[in-house]
Amino acid sequence: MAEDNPEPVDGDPGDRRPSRPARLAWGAVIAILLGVVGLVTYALTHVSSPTAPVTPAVTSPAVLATLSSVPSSTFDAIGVTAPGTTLTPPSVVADPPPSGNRPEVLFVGSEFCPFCAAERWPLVVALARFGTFTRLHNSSSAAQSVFPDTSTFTFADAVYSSRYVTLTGVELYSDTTGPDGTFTRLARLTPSQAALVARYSPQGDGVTTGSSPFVDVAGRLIAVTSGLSPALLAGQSQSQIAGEIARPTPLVVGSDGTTPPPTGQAIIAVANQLSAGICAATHQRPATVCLSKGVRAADASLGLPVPPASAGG
Amino acid sequence: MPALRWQPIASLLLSIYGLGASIYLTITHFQPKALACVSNSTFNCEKVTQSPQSEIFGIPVAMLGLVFFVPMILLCLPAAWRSADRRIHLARLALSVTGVGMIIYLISAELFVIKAICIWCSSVHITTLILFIIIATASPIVLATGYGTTDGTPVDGDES
Repeated sequence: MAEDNPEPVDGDPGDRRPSRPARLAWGAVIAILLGVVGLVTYALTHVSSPTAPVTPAVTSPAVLATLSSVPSSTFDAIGVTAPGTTLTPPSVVADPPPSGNRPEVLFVGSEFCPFCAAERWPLVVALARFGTFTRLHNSSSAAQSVFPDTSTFTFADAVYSSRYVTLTGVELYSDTTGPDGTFTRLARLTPSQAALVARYSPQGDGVTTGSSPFVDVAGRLIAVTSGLSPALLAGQSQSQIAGEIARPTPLVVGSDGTTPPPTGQAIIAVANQLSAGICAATHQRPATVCLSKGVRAADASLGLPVPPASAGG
Repeated sequence: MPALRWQPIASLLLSIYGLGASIYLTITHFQPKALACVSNSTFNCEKVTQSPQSEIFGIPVAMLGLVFFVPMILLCLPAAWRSADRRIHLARLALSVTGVGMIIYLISAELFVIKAICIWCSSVHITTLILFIIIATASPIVLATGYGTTDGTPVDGDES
């Protein structure tokens, strides 16, 4: 019956071979599968090597040590004033205590933002009185910002431990831009954080975009901008600013009639205010901080209850 | 004319699963705490679903999954597979090609940019890939002249 089976052609009912479109389809499927397998294989064999991660430099132990060892006498001497500049105190609030064991300090900002850069300094100084930063990274505000290249830190990947308080640092955007020209997104607010920000800054979309800092000090103080002007930090390196904090320069008029910016005083003064908010949530613990003259001065200036001075203070 | 056997029901079930996973991922995009997922140095759903790559032109990728799977379910209904209207089969094929292109981009983003893998997202990627395989290999059959008819004439819709 060989004469009944002539050479098959595409479309013949007796043709058992795949049609040309079917062969094309299978070719496409195999190509896609090979592509996916190739992608995964390449990623597993090349990308996992620790070559490219662009992470900010770790803050030097010397700077951390300086910020963590500001003498009590310095805090007490400065109190809440910094001659020659205007500080913006946080607002006193009375939110219900958080459900966790320890009060939380929430910082929301962005690495590109100069006002966030300014606010991190007193916040780090204040928190260092209640605990220890074991990891912090350097950062600076964006070069194209109104106060460019302001030296600061980033709370992204920061590690802070304390018996009294927890730190949640949310850096919404990086200080670097992506291919589309916008700052790279680093994190998002949780719904509860977004609600908190919206409650205290209903019209300030700069907060939710990370272009101005939002600080909730344990439900006792709220700051929606920096306590000190970023102008006070202009042109100074991180170690220079740390040195100013360790040894605040007295306000002196130079021979040319100019005065140096009261950088150290301003940072210490705002740190006292933030410390007062933390103390209000920790039931004035530790007493060595909370009953100190500088923090009590901040209590009085902010309208927080002023605890009585004690031997511990 | 070869007949389709398991492909319609398999593609429909996969599309339904993909829609369910996309709904879940859309919810967790806005409520990250609702995300139940393994979290370690390799697998981290939250890192993926909250990454900058989780949105395209401001639209969450998970929501694009909804936009993909809803019409895919309709196009994978048995009646749609039986249709003699070539436009339905071409639309299904085009949608699956779009889907597989999208998942190649998303897999690349996970592996090379975010450097984390989201299990839930990967399940949607695998679903989309299998859907593409089924649809791409079945399409030559259903696009052949006369498919969906008993005698070579369309059963529903005109032959275009």
